[in-house]
Amino acid sequence: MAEVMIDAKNIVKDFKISKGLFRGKETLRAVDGVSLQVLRGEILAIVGESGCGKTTLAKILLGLLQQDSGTVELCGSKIEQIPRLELAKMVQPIFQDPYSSLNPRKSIGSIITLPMRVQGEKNSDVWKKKALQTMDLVGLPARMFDQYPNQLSGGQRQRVAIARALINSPKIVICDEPTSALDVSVQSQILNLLNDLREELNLTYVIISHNLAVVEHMATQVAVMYFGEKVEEAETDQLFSNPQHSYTKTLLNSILSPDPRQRNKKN
Amino acid sequence: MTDLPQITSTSPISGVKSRVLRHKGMMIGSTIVVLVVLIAILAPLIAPHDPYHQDLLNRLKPPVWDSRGTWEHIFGTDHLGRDYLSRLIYGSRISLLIGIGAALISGIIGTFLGVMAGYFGGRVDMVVTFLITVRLSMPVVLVALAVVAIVGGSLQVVIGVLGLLLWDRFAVVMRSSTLQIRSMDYVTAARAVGCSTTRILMTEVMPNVVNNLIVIATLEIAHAIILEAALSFLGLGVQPPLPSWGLMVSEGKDMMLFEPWLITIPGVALFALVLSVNLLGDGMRDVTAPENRN
Repeated sequence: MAEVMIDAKNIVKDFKISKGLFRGKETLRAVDGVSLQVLRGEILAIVGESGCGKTTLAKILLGLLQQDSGTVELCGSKIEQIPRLELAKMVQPIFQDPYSSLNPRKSIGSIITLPMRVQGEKNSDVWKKKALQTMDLVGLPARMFDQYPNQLSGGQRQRVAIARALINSPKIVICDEPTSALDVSVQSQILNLLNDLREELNLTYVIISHNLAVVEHMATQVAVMYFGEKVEEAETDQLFSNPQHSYTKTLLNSILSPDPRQRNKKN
Repeated sequence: MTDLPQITSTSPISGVKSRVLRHKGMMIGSTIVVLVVLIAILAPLIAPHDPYHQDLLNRLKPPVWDSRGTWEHIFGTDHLGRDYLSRLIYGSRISLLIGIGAALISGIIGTFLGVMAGYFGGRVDMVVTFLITVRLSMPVVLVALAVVAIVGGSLQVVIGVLGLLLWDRFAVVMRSSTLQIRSMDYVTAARAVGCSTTRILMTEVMPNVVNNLIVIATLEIAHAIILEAALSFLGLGVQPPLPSWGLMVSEGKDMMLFEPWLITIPGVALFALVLSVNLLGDGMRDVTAPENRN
């Protein structure tokens, strides 16, 4: 059996929402007892409607938020016990909006090499070489090294974000809606790139999405979340052909089909 | 990947340079500011007379454009017979020193408080917001007058008092722009990459709020120059015989009806300096904004 990369058990995360100065606080349970297991090389998709706790879960898996209860283990060690820089080498994010995930004040080269500089690599020749290699890997021309994010298109920016995530060769990549801010033709390019990189670098992905077409195309395993809980998890084919939970069925029915007759049949 | 049209890459510095040259307001503002700075630095070399030298026989000489004026005293002389041009030239030193000194002190205080409040939020934000409210509820001129009256007026005291009073705008603006930057994904990405909080603040947050900082700093330099003039006018700022522009207006006000140049000359100088500092600030914001890079 393949190595377990992510092992999360019973994660609970509450947010306290202030109702006003004298009205006390209300608790919102964003993630409610979710357990996940992802094996090496798998692509787990987490689907669900907006506000169901997908992004909170992703932040917990990245170590950016602390869960209130439950345990998260990455590659066999507890996430709280992994030092910050080690954790950064293990798991990296790719964000939804490539317009906000790149610092507009920094050149592409400086953005891509930041993870190496943070890890204490001092030699600028080493960064530059590694950055150019990574840029080549994600399909960015070397001349963009000195350009700024606002000179790039959305798809190119997303490639920069992918290059930044991959430069220190992490084992796990968590993609939060990696394509939803891109136009359709670019979406498929980015998805194919992510797929190729997975094979080439032996990566494990967690993809958060509400685009079921993306999920069907990419994922090996799908988890459905609804109001902070994981209501169903199955292999992709199985989930799409034989959904168990009523929310999953509704979700699958909401896919628009290009054939109007088929759409009528479903309803 | 499809072939992209070749983009000729320009170096960042040459891009900024061409944008500066195209920005008229900034060109005018920076020319006057540079001129005043040069005058202030080179004051002993260009001033025709000693600004402190009194010549009671040549009191209240009119400037050269008046029919009674002479080239000896281009801007005339004041009520003690001191050369007005020389006093104006030396006065620029006081105005710049106070403007820059006060903006520097208040900039450090305000930026520190604002960035901390915006980035950490929660309790830190509550404390800083409270401090801002306290500061805003104090009338600057009255507090400055009271402090100067107690401690005694001198250049250092005026810079210190204004520096400790003018940080509110820095704090408010820095807080709100940091709040906005903090929620950007690149800050989250920097955290995920393992950056320390200090590093995130210095390399991710600060560069993106610094253009606001420049604008506020220039506004506050102008504000401090005007406040110094007001304090000196009221007799509680820079003390005579130091040649401050505000003090010159104050000393000339008794003779305003018959010798109007005594207040118009330093007044115009103040107006031109404050206006050009503001033009320069606006220009710098326009030129450094990333969305104007192309």
